Amino acid sequence: MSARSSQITRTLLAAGARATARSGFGLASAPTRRAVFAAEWRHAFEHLGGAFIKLGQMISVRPDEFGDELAGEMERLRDRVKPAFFEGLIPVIEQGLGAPVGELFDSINPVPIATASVAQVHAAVLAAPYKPVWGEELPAGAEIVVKVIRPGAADALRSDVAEARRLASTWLMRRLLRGVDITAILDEFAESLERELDLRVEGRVADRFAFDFRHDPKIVVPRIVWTRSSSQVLTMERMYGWRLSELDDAELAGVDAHGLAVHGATAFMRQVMLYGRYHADLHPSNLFVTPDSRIAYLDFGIVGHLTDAERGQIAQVLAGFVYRDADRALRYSEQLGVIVPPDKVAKVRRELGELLDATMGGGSTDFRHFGFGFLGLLRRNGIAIPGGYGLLVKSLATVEGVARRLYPDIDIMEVARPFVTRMIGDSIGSPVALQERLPAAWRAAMRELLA
Amino acid sequence: MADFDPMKFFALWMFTHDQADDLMVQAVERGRAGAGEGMSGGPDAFTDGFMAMVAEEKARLKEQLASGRAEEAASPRDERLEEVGFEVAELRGRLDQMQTTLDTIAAHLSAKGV
Repeated sequence: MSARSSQITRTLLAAGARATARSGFGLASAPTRRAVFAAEWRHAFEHLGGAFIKLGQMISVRPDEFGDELAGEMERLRDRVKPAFFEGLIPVIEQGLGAPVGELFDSINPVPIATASVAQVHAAVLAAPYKPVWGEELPAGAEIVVKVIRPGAADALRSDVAEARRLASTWLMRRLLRGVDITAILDEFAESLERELDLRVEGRVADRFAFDFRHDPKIVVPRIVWTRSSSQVLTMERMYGWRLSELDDAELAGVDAHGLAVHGATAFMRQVMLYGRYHADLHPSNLFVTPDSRIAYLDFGIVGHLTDAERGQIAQVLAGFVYRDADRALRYSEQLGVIVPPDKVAKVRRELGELLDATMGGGSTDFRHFGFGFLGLLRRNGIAIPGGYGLLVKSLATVEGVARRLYPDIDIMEVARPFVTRMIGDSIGSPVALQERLPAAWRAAMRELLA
Repeated sequence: MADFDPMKFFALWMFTHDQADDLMVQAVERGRAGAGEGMSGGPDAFTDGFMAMVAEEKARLKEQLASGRAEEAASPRDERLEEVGFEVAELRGRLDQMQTTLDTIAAHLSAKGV
């Protein structure tokens, strides 16, 4: 067993033992037990670093699979790594871009502006003008940032995944993770990690987002410098402003906080329901607010994709939520893969109605409470939740959290209501939809008239 | 069958329109109220909300017609052109990046004296 392998086993076993003791050896209430275990797993993942940070981040966006407590706790996971020495990054940059660093950039600051387990970011100055895929040309002398995969990070992450696979197959872990398809999760995780280790994927997503929001002056996406990018190096325009996680009251006073909160929430709905591509890793440190009251999106590591049919179905499910119409929400959720067995339809419908009334009525709404409550309701009734569905509910809850950080009194459902209503209204006008629906509408009207 | 009575026919026609108009106005009012705290929720709430937005659209349309402004909307042709423009630009980005990779390989080979 390698040193890393022993460290992982030791750390996870210690976390499990601590959690068992702290939860009174199983005597504490179920919610307390789950909260204690979640906190210990989070500390253990933070301590282990590497792939476990990424795995924790993935768990944080999958409340459908891991439960609200663990997903919520993993949101607090911090990627605390010491910066790698810049000298160690130089070979990665030079081997990736084929020239000495001095020739590639006008200048590059050896002190990183951001550090994480996979990559490190350095400020630099562009040596020659570059016409990006979308947007104005970046002139020579433009301020840029260079994101570099840390040396050895890819191998370390892959080896951690292999170790996680070995551990997952042990009796103890199978018992701890019962009910969770850990093999499928690790396969998905390994696949997403490989995508994240190729920075070109992130660059292409950023270009596409810039194009999607080309008519929106309130949304900014950094322009990518492809002549200075490779699978391990991504060079892009530098953004100035405040990360949402760093924004304080004084700074908020200087920007249009309400307008930004509403616009940010609407922009997310456009991603989901119009473009079919959405930033699925929205958290306060991935969003910048610029001094001229614009929202800058950063870090396109996790992106959700939707088909045209799914976009329409999601608009309908959301309409079911905002109009507290449980039947509509369940009908279209079924088309998204949430299959409620016939003998449970009445019970689920009643429970969903109660949850909608409790969380989405009476003037102020709480989507996070509702969304996680709904996923819990499905789980309690033994209904399988497709990964994409869980990710979307979580993303919407996160958007609400992000918008509330900007403007605490924002009602996300008030923002969603006109948006989904218009979306559905627009879809009714298509000839195909008319052809599909008019016969039934005509029959229903005649049945009512002639009853 | 009784003889056709134009008076009755138009009275029925007018009555139907009046009823439909009243129902629409009521739906718009419920939809507007529903935007605030008073929304009751349920299957009809969406229809009411939709009708409230239709009324807003009608108000906008009337305003546009009164001011003589034409509707400003991007044509599907513009959208398609932009989409193709993006695809070409994206291809250029990929070529830029591939050129960098080629230059890297060339530099590597020349350093090895190949």
